[in-house]
Amino acid sequence: MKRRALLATVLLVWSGTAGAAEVPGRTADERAINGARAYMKAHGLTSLKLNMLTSPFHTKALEREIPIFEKATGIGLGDLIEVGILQIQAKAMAEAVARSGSFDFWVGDPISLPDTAEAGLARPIDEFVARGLPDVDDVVGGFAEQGRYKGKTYGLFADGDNFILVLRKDWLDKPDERQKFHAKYGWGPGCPDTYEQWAQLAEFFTRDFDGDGVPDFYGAIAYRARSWGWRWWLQRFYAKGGMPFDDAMRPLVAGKEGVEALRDYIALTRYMPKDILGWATPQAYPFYAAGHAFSIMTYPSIALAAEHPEKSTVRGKNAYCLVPGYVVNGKLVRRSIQGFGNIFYVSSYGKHAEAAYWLIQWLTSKEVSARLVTYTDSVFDPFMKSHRSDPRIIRSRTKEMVETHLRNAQVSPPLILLQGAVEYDDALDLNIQEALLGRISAEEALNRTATAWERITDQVGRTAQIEAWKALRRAFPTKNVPD
Amino acid sequence: MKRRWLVAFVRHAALLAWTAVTLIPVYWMLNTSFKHSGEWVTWPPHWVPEQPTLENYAQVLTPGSTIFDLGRQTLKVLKPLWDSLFTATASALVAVALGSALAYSWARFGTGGKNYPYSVLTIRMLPPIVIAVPFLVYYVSLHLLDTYTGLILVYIATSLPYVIWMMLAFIEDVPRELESAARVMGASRFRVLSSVVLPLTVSGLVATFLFVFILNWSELLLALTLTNTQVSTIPITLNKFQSVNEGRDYGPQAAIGAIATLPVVALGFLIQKHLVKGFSFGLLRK
Amino acid sequence: MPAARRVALAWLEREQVFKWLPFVPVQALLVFLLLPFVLLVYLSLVSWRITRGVWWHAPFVGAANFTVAVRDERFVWAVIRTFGFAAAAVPLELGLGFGLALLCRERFRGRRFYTTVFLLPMMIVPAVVGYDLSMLLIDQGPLNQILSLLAGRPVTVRWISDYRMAKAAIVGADVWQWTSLVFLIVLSGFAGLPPDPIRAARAMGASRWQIFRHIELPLLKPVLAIALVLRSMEALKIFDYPVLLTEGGPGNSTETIAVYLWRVGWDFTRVSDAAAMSLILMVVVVMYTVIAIHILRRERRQLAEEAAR
Repeated sequence: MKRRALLATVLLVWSGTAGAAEVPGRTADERAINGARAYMKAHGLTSLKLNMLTSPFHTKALEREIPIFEKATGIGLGDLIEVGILQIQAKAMAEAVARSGSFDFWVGDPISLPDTAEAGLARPIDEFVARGLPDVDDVVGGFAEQGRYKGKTYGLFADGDNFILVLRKDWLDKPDERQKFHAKYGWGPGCPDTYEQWAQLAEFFTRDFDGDGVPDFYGAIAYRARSWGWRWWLQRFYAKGGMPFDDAMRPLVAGKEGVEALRDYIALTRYMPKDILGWATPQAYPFYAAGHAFSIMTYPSIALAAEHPEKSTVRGKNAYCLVPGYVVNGKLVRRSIQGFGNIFYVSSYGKHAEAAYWLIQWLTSKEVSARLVTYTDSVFDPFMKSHRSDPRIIRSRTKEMVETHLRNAQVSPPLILLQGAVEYDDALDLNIQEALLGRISAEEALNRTATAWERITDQVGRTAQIEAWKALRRAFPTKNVPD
Repeated sequence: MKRRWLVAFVRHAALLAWTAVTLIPVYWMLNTSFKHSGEWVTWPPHWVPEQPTLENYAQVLTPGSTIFDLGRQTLKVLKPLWDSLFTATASALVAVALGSALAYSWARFGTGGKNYPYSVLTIRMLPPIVIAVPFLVYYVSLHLLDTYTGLILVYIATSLPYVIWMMLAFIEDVPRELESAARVMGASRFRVLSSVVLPLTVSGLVATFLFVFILNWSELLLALTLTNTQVSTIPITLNKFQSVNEGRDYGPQAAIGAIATLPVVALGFLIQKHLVKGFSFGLLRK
Repeated sequence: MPAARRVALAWLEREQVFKWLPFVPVQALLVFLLLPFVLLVYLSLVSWRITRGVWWHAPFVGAANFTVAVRDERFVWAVIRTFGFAAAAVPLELGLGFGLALLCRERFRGRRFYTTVFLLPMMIVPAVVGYDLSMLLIDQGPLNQILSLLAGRPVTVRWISDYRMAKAAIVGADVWQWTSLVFLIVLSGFAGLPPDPIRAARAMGASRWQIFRHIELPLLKPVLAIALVLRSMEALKIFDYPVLLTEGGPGNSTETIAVYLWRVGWDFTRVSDAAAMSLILMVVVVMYTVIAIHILRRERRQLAEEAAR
């Protein structure tokens, strides 16, 4: 009698602790579904609607996938709070103040993580990760690290937004052009290794067909618009071996690497349309897809625009290249910056944090993320090793692009993911634009940026920033060039 | 004779020039609303859609997707249209009623003091951004965040200064003798208001309503701060039009823009005979 | 019940009660909405960022935020810039609105058409105008195309990407939209001109120009004053156009005070700084208000004097 009671107790305790251990399931999406079902059962629910803060960029793809999860678990979407993609930070901060619980989870960029974590809005999800085991290992490069802050996990990575360089293969393959180019510059032409080579390609392939003094075919396109352009400079800066801060959080942007990178950044605009200062995706994508430019360095979703069956005139004519780099101490260093990125976060003020977690684990599993990436109107780009060989993804983006993109991801440094990031970026962007406009010199621009950054660091709290910066180093690539 | 012809010519030339300036953006909005995404931004621009389509209008007018009960949001116009109409109309009606009564009270009895209309004008001078954060905290604790009531209350308060100013001189134009005569004949104060003052100030009331309606209809900042999903006005909806490949969904935006203009134009049309009189801020003379 | 109702109504009829009737709800509403303002003052006196816990635990720093704000070049420039926009846009609106109303005051063929068209811009949501213009103003967009046609040679004004032209674009957007309001106000003013002085002057043989300059123009001054005060108040608050057309750029050439405060408060999470800046802005605006009130008061007084005469 006593022994049976003892056995029963042991079994009970064991099953109890086993409940807090891993959720069953072979794959991350299976585990997510099982975890979600267990949650629903434990709370006696058959249907649960979660609210999400997002931008219309993401809605279409999610609208197709989430009903599948809902059918399997009963957890679906209730209200969508949609704002423009650059306003998600403001809206999240408003919720951090309001604490109204108006959304349970949201999708945002890595830049906003430190602020939303410090503000208490982003909820640490380590406990759920330990049980659910999302597909973090399959994520390429240092991306997964971007969902972590000060040692805790807050978000699950969903989109590899590192830049890619696209060239017009049809122009590259023209025999007389090849001959002339090679004669002039002594290499290729082909995918450039260095920024200097890219500039040479841009110079060579800028053409004025009708002789009116205005180019009709531009050698290069890259964003220079307010709130966007600074990312392109940062990529060059990293490739030069530069780091934004030293270990004591003193800004290093005004050093030799920064100034040279900025000069090159400004110089390349010579081969771009004259109003490039107003150009971001809405202008750049249709322009390239209409065939007016030889090359473009931008987000990987350019592939969707360039290969679009109806809207693109350059379908099948594109060469997808590794991003160029600089030669540092005799070695080539390529850096493909994570220009935006999307991460799913869970709100601390929602009522069903765990349910929201299972949903985002499901969305970021190998299988579901592959589907999300495949949609041609989707903002999600490949970011897992398994995406490389997924036939659906290859079909919408071309095999070459997917492979090149994932190779680029091996050398993808993060943006400045610290508290006050938006303010650091804004100061940098503002001064870079002033330099682009020719109102101040490159040195002056970066000196002003460094001064502003010092002030921001002091305002945020230097010790905290030093600690966070040290932790962020882990997200940086270790290789110089991809394999 | 020739002089008159010259004057007419110059007049029409100038007016036509401004007509062109006015109509080109309006035309472009309509133009874009009938284009598919490949034609929105082209080099050179397409003045007439090469492949006109109704898909933008279809997209914004269909109420929510069928797979997914997202009837509230995404790039649809019906809910924002309703929300905007409701909040703008309600706040305009209440503001006009309260504000006119206030103007009457100040004009006839001097309530509130000599400086009241001027001090109340200060409300309108503040950029709303100034109070966005405190208001957010305030409304959350009062459970007014993301509610119609909350937004309408703010709109009423910010509209009152204009109502008072526009109605003030109209009311002053109503001869006191008329009112005293009515009262002598035994009419109550309320009766005086409805039978004497109201008919004489109808142009002002109607024009003020239109003006306040337009102001609240177009308001973006406070609506952006104080609402999430339950309330979603047209300016906020327009802010959402971005997509992966195009960056900005100009087509549906233009469709919503066109649709959003209709109620205001309709309202203006309905009250057109009162418009000219109504916007004189009562600075009319007999 | 009817007796009670009669008593209630009779009570309401008393002048003392009647005159306060509308005031009570309005004052209640204003007080209700004043509380956040108190919170604003509180926030400006403490040091709080959204990322730093709850606001009621924030440490008191007195006037420190104000010193920071006043020394913030970007803030000062935003204020100056915003006043600059208003100073450029409002006179243009007044001038154009007045001119158009002048042309439309008499009956002539097509007048109805023109007045209807001219009223359209103010009926369109400013956010729509912002998006619309962002399509029209790109380098190779429709506007430059038209300008090229008119000039006979290719014209590419860089409306959104040039430092100075972006400002012009913002001013242009405001002028395009709000000239129509001024037009309406002035038109009303013309309609309200008393016929007698004009008839008398004409009987005495005055020319049209003389009548216009010496009789009508002075009579229209109050109307223009109202339009001036109204438009300048609104122009100082512009937010929609800079955000949608240029994001405050290029550089910060179109960063108005509303845009900058939005950035500081939400994007940079520096709420206390934004609060301090807001209060400084209020001081500036109040000074401006005093001037505006003085103008309005003077016009109303003159009107009253004339009416008495």
